[in-house]
Amino acid sequence: MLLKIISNLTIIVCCTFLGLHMSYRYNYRIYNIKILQSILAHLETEIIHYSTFLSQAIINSVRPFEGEWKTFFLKVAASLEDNNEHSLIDIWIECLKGLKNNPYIGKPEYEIIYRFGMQLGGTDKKSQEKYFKLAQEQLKIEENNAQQLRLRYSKMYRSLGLLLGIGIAIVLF
Amino acid sequence: MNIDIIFKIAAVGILVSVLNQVLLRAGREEMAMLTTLTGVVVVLLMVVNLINNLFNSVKSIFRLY
Amino acid sequence: MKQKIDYLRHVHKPVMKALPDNIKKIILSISPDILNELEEIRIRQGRPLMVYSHGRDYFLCKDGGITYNQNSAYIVTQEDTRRILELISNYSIYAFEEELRSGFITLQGGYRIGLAGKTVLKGDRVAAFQHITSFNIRISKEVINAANKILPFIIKGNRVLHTLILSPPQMGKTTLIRDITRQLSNGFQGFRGVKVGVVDERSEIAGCFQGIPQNDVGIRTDILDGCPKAVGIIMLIRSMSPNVIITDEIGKPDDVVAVEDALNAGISIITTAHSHGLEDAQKRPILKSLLDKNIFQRILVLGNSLGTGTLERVYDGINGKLLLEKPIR
Repeated sequence: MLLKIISNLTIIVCCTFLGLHMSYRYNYRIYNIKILQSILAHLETEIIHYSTFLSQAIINSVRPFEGEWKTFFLKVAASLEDNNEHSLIDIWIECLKGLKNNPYIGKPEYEIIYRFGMQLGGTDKKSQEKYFKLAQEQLKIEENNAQQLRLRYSKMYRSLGLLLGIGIAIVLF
Repeated sequence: MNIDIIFKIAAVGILVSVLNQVLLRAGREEMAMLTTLTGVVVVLLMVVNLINNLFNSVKSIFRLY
Repeated sequence: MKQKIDYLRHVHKPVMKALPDNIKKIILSISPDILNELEEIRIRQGRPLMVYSHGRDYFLCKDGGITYNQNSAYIVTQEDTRRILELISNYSIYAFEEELRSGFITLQGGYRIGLAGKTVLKGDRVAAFQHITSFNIRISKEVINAANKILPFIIKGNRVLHTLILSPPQMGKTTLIRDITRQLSNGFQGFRGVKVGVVDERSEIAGCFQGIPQNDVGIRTDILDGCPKAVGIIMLIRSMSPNVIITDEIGKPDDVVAVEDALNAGISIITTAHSHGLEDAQKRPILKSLLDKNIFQRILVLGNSLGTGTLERVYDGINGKLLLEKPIR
């Protein structure tokens, strides 16, 4: 009897954590988008106003930040410094692959950055500025979407986890 | 007969209704519907034996075989 | 032989870094004899890869061999030109906007890459390149002490004389003026170094990369890189108090005015102009106006009667006397 209660409690706790984790994803995605926006803003300043070379510009602009995007940008910068036989587009795609199934990064912002990389560095300042603006605008929209999703689902997943745990426990009891 | 099963069914009923509320609040009507159905099925599975017993009893009482 | 290739790999590292792997491999497998005298690498999209060496051009095969047959040469692809552009700009074309507009990029180490292709105009000046299809990578050589023979003519006591150097293209004019800069700035036996200001409009003298001179132009030298001569001369006079101002290739009316300003400020001027000699220079209106003012105390004429960089004649610009009659090198 005691064993039964303990194992049922374990199930409930596990399911609750699962639910919390699922709801945390929504928070973390927004956090990542915000970081991405800041990184792009820094990068834009480096590029438009200081004309820093791309790899150095990237390193300078991710310095104060954390998270998945920082890792990604640092990887791109390192590959650029290596000066191996790849174009920026190839490097960009290669480094982005690591983020494709990342639970904390939504598909929309992945695609925004993918498209952004196709234009980065390859044109004059005026058009670079345009691409930055475009990416920022799209990210803003995605941030709003993510915010709404979080409002709707983050709470739901939290209670859903607990309830599912209790449900399984009852059925098995 | 075991009285536990009644409590169990009651618990499932409460759980399903709460789940239903949560999902409706989150705007997932179709998921709510699905959970309700799942609850019904689960309860049915639980009681199918008892119903079988009931029918058997009825048959034997009225000598219908 | 291997040593020589390593030499090239180290000395011209910035150039090698600017080439995509396939072209780099071809260049590095050319015979050392040609490689050591390399003057230019010419890359034109859809046409054979060429190098200039020993004063002539060579087509290159895929394996780095020399060929005289256009059909067996390596043909530069669009992918190649795209990659080169990416590599020479360090993946950052935005940082070279101004340079692209003027048609060349200076690499680390002072190497210059000339560009040509389809331009986009804005008003009457080039706003940008739409397609860049031709690259001319110039392996510049710093010839230290190239100016030794010339210095006695342009110095009087501890003063530098106003000097005009006339030379046809490709006669080592820039090499010469670079070494003059270095020697005047560092000083040499019997001459203490003076403050030198260089207005380097086309980044040829100092070969600046991000403002830092890549060629040895001396310890007392300040450089205004990429600055128009007329504006630059006046800026230097006002802010850097140079004793000597050195510029390359004057030719615009504005330049003449700025040179006069410098003279009035008591600053010596050393400059160059494209010309085959004094008579030729007299035919060009702007040069003529400059010569007629008797501004320059020394006029040097370069030529190639004894090989590139021969000093053919030296005139005293004030009284027109010939100071050097026989060419020296």
